[in-house]
Amino acid sequence: MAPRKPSFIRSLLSLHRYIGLSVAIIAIHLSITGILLNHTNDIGIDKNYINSSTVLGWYGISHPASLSGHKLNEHWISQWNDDIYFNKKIIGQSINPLRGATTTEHFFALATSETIWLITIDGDIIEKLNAPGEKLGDIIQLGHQNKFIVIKTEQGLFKADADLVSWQPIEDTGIVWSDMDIVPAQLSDEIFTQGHSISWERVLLDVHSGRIATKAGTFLIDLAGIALIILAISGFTIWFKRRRRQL
Amino acid sequence: MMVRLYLLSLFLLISLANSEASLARGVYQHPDAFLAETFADKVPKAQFIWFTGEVGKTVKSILSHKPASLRTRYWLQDERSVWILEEIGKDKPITVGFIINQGQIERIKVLIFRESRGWEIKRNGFTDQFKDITLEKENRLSKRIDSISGATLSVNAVTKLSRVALYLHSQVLKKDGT
Repeated sequence: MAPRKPSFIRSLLSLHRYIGLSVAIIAIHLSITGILLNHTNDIGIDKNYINSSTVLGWYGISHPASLSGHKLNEHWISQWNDDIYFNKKIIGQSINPLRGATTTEHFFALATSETIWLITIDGDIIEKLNAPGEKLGDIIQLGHQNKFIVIKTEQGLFKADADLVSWQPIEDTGIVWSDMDIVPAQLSDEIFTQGHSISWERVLLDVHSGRIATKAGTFLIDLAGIALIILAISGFTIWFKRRRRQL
Repeated sequence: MMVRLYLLSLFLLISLANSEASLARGVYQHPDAFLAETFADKVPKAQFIWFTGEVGKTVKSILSHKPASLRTRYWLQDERSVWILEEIGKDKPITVGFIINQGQIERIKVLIFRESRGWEIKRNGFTDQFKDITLEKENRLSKRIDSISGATLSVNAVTKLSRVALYLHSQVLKKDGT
């Protein structure tokens, strides 16, 4: 006697069961992460940035063990990526390297190879000046002589007047050059954390979509998505067929 | 064969676009050279105007944001002034030199362009539109500036800066009692 051919409903039920069992964990994962994503603002992870080097490593982001900067009284001027920081506040961008920071009679000053920025003691920019003329060349170092700004360029040493309107060549005497130092670890960590701006919300979103596990993760979530669609259709078909049979 | 041809064209197109963008970025004229050219090597002493009080409020309303610095410098000789101003187009600041003469724009020149797109604003065809423009009611320009397709943000930045330059010129002349 030939074996009985399983009915369509029975086959569909079996498929439904196996698919259901296979995707159960992923469905729970998608539900939990989905619910959390709906409430990122409430739980505060949208503005909470990652400082775990392991998690940052997943995104291919790494930062040096320390950051160099220039100390001005109790403040730090530093550069991370293209951002210029006054303590942990970004005050502007420069693609050119930071050459130094110094104090003058009334304000702070910092220099990149191309520009000089005058800033208040609160870190507000008073003025950004282009390097003083093509003739003087790029700024190599910044310092002060009796609180007047001094720059070292390829053409020599130059001292500015109080308003940085004119520059006079000077001898290397009594100049206090800006020194590089290591930014305190707590501050550099805050700078590195801000510098990449990857929030926990972004991580959760990538966990939800599977992107956190690169292409394999995305592929798995795609498969789960297709499986859930099949599950919904098979579930509906089974219910519909059974209902018709009962009528 | 067709696929290879397509890929080759795509590669050439991307290379061309990139090389054009990188060529467009840079210092077209150093601000000091612009000043020297404007004042025939007799550059007057720089003066400052602070963005405080009414001046600060007006500049903020023209730019639609707080000015990036607390003051800017200018060079004034009789009723002719030069302003070197910066405004972000999309991501990076564009440095533009303005010559204002008796309340009218005499000339503008894009001095430093740092963006990857929108460099077309450096062309004379665009900058010449600003010639003889004055400031009207509510700090509007007396003439409409034609935009450039693909460079809208850069055009907007330069247009705003021209309003700022004209406004600041009027303020320094008022202060100067001219």
